[in-house]
Amino acid sequence: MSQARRDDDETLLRGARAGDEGALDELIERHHGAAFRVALGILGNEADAADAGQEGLMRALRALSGFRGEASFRTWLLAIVANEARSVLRRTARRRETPLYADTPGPGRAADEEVALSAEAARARELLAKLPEKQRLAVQLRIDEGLSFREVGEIIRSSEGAARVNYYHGIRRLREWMEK
Amino acid sequence: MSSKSCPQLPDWVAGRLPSEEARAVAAHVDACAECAAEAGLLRALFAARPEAPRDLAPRVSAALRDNEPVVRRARRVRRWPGWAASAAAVMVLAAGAYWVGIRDAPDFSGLGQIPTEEGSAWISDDGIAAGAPVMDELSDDALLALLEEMGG
Ligand SMILES: [Zn+2]
Repeated sequence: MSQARRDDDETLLRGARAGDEGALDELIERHHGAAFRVALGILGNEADAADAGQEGLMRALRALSGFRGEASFRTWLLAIVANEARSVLRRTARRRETPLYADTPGPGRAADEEVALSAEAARARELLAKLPEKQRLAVQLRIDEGLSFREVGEIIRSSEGAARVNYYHGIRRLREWMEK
Repeated sequence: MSSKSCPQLPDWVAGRLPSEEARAVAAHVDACAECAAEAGLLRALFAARPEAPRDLAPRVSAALRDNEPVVRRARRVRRWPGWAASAAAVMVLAAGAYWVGIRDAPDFSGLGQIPTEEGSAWISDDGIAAGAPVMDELSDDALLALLEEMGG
């Protein structure tokens, strides 16, 4: 993430804390996509991901005073969303016998709807969903959101080094699967 | 061929690099078969990254705006007969148990203060203050006020 963007988040945060609803809306607009994708990466289906994303966003934005600036705002927010998604996963796992992720279809819409999604891109994303959770999230957070390995580690609850290893294992596996 | 450009591949593919750095990575990818292959995969992944449903942002915004403040001012309490207060206590306790049952306390460390049900009370869709501790220590008046709010 560029410095300019981080500074913008800080300005918006000041506004939101002071009760500026426009600033709050801009924070939501900026981060809801990432929040949804993180929840989807953990839960594997869009309906649950939208709910967990909403819940996590609301919890974070209602508790802005708890954000101390130790991580970037986005990392803090995404960690809260991931936390929410994991607790949803634990609750649903208790209700279901089968693992949630195994055979659920990959995510749906392309980011750029003007371009028809190539079969290769769709397949890459389907295979991504089959990686173990930490590898999946490491790859996803690095490519989709541009997080550093330190930031990835904060969300997957690992060290920076382990986040990097998870990323490269995931990439290697995906390349093998794609070549088949 | 390993270079300082290799770790920048995802940012290059996603168009997040300033132009000078992007040129350096592009030159490296031309010369490095490993990175060229990885870039192909990353490009495919990035092209198909999922987008949030269109109504997510407006839903969050509206929910934050519409909900009443977390700490509600006590309303004027009507005098209820004793049996009603007991029934109220049972209902409120049941509601509390429901919340305790379905909300797991998240385990979190390393990121500073993360809001949890315990750390910051918030109002759920049905108006119950989730995370509100120990329902049975509330005074009768507070209990009645809460019940009145739950009943609308
Ligand atoms: Zn290379």
